[in-house]
Order: sequence, then structure tokens, then C-alpha cells
Amino acid sequence: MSSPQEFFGNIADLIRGIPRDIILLLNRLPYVHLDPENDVRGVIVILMTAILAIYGLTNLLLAPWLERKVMARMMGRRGPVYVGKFGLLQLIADIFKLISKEDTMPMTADKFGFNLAIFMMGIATIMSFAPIPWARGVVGANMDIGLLYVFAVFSVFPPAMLLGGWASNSKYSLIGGFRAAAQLVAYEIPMMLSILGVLIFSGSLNLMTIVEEQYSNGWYVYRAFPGLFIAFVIFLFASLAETERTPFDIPEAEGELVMGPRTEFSGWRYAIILMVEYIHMYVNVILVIVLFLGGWDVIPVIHGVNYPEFLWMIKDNRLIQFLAFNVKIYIGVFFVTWVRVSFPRFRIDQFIEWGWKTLLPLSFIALGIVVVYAGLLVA
Amino acid sequence: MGWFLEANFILIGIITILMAFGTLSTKKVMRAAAFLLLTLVGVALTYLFLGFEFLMGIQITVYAGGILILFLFSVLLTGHEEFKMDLEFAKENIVQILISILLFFTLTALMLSIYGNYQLTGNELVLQAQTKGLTQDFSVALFSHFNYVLPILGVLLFSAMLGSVKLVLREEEL
Repeated sequence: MSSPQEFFGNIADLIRGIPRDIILLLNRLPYVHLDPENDVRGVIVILMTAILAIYGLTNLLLAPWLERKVMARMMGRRGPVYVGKFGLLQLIADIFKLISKEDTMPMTADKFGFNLAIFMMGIATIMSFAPIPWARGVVGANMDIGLLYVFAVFSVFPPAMLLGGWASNSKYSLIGGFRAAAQLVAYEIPMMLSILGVLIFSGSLNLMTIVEEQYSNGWYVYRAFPGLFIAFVIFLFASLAETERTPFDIPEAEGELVMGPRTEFSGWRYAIILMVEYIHMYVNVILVIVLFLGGWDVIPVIHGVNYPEFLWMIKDNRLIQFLAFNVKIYIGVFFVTWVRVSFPRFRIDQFIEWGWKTLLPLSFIALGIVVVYAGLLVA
Repeated sequence: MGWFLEANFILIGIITILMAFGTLSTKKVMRAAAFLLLTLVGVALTYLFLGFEFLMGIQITVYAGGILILFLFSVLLTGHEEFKMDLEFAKENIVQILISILLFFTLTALMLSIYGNYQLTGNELVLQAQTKGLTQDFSVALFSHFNYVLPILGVLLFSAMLGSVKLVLREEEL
């Protein structure tokens, strides 16, 4: 029986070994000359991304269940109870129901845009899993531009939403699409600005480097106090707005717009949109954790406090890191649900104003504090 | 894996060109925007083949996420009629076609004269990206040779941002 650390090492070796064998096999074919050391890298990236994305997606089956349960408890209900133990299989039942439904499309819809919007959103969300570090060294693609990559992938959403809303050829969808695009654009700027403070400390866009820096010098929530804490709160609310969670679910305000840009999508298309929404929320929670709450780090380092040896052993254990990351994600999902139950929906004008007139100046102030702090550190 | 990268490059190039053609030839404005989005993503992927991964991220974030949305808003919020492509040839069209053919050959000749001797293979592309560290070089150059330009640009952009906030605030008072 190997230790947990070795267990993860063995898995990594296995993943590296399989593509090498495939390449060695391919080399037996005529006219194929591959280098097993260098050419193996791309295959590893694809395999690791696929494995971690599948892990993330299976985890994702639990997130909506947790959300429903927590929501129900907070409202004095019981939530899903019939399908499976504690209603655990409710989401799978829902998915089967949605897939088995008749595939309908409005007669006047623009077929090209109607289909393209779904595929664009679906592909973009799954691609966003690639650079996320789940434990030390456990990552799909170790990119130097990891953070920028995630935001680049997410920036495909506003045009896709608008396209989907327009292609449905319904006024509710179009208005919803507009609202979604305006909201995503308005909240992307404070989000980006609040990240700048983190980048000053980490000096890298690589998500692994960002987490390693927090591992050795402390989490970003409490560093450069209160600069990065303000940035953390701004990033949290901006990411809630980005994912259209309830205080900010203006694009799909069901009292006004039926379902917003998603109104005309039904059956498997709706299943994909539902999945996209949850993955978007999930990845945003992960981003908050990676950027501000230490990623897979278990025990935050405090400047000037010496930890005993066994605490460092806990910090260095990859299995504990992996589990800690997952626990943090579920706490994040719980928090998001809590916010959803507690606050009523904003009005569209209040909301856009809040973004441009409150969050944007605040994020500038936070950035200023961080810059001054970093300057003092250097001096 | 040179042939693999080259095959990918050719595939992405063909798709990008097709999408660019779609942008110009489609009748509906929103479809044109969707094609434009795919064209921009294709161009971004071409940057990736050259090892400019940072440029790829910026290209998608700024153009696909920012500029395209501006286009869409301005197109959809202003009145427009669906325009039709007329493929009948007129005298002006012939001149246009001649000019574009001339431009195409000039550009090709120019590029061949500069890069003609240098043949890129897939392995070299990858090597270039790994050894040179283009993003780092770029940022080092930006923050060492141009370190006075950046703060000035920052102040300029910041003042523009403050000005727009001020404009919005004044509208409310009126």
C-alpha cells in the first residue's frame, strides 16, 4: 500500500506512460518518426485536461443538488427527496427527462445562430478547466497565461448570449440577451482591476505560480490589508454577476422576461445551457479560491509565526491539498447559494449603476492601496 | 510532430479564411458578427502557432469580448435594414477586383521577400515558443525601454475613464 503522495505520483506516471507507448507504437508505421520525449507533451495536456474536466463535471452533479438542498432548508422545505438516497440522483433524472424531450426550435428562429450559440458556450466552459491546479502539480495544462486564458475563454460568453437571444427571434430572448451582454461587460472591468492587485504580488499569470506564492507567503485575502480584501469582495460579487446568480439574475428575470436569452431553448439544448451555467458558476468559485483563498493550500502562513514540522507535513501532502481544494469549492458553492436565497433581485438600472459607479472606483482604491503597500515592501 | 502541427495550421487557416468570407458574404448582420467572432478566434489560434500565447489571450479578450460586443450593440440598437449582396458585376466592381488582386500579389511578394528564405517547420515553431520566452521578452522590453511611456499612457487612459464617469454623473443631475 503506497502513501497518498506516491499514489498521485503513480497516477501522473501512468498518464505520462500511456501516450509514450502510443507514440512508440506509431513509430513502427512507415514514414512516421516521432520523438517520444518531446511529442508526448501535447498528448499529456489533452489527457490531463480531459481527466480533470471529467472529475470536475462529475463533481458538478453534486453542486446543483447541494444548492437545491441548502436552498430548501433555508426556506423551510425539504428539497429533492424521492430519487435516490436524499434525492442525490435528482439531477441525473432531470437530465434524462430533458434529453428524452422532443427537440423543438421556433419556426422563425435563425438555425445557424441558434445552434452555434449553444456549442460556443458549451465548448468554452469545458475549455476553462484546463489551467486550474487541483493540488501541487495536478493540473491539465501548465500555461504561463493561465489566468488570461480563463478570461479569454469567458469573454466568448457575451457575444454567444447575444447571438442566442437574437437567433431565437423572440423579444424576451433579445432583451435578455442585451441585458446579459451589458451585465457581463460592465462587471468584467472591476473583476479585471481587482485581479491586478493579486498579479502585483504573484508576478505571474500562471495559476500554479499564484497558488505556490500563497503557499509560501500567505493567502491574498489578508495580505496588504485592506487592499486585497476589498479586491476579494469586489471579485466575489463581480463573479456572482458574471454567472448571473440570483441577486444579479437580471437577464433571466422570470417575472419580466420568462427565461431571458434561454427562453426558446428546450430539451437537450436546455440541458446544455443548464450545465454551462453551473460550470460557469463552479469555475468562478474555483477562481475566487485560487486567486484569494490559497487554492489548494491547507493552512495559511502568517508572517512572523513559526509553524511546527507536522503542520508543514500536512501542508505538503498532496492528497490533503486535493481534498482541501474540494472542501473549499463546496463551501464556495454553499456561500453562493446562501447569497441566492438571502437577497432579492436588483433592478437593471440599479445594477449597472452599482457596477460602474461603485465597484469600479472601489477597485481603483483597492489597487491603489495594494500598490502603496507593495512599494513600501520594496522600500 | 511537425506534420501534426502543420496539418492543424492548414486546417485552422482554411476555416479562418472561410469564416472571413462568410463575414463578408452573409446577408444578416448578426450572422456576420458570429462569423467575425470565429474569424478572430481563428486568427488568435494562428498566433498560438507562432508562440505568441499572450497575444492570443489578448486578441480573444479584447476583440472577441470587447470590440465585437460594441459592434453588436451599435448594430442592434440603431435601426438597420438587412442588406443584400448583389453579385451583379458593374464597372466599379471590376476596378475593385483589380485593386484587390493587385494588393494581394503585392502583399504576397512583400512577405516572400522578407520571409522567403526562412521555412518554418512545426518543430521549429514549438522550439521557438519554448526557448525564446516571447511573452517575457516582450514585457521586459516594455518595462525597461519604454518604462516612461507606460505610466503616461496609464494616466491618459485613467483621465479618459474619469471623464466618462463625470459625464455619466452630470447626465443624472440634468
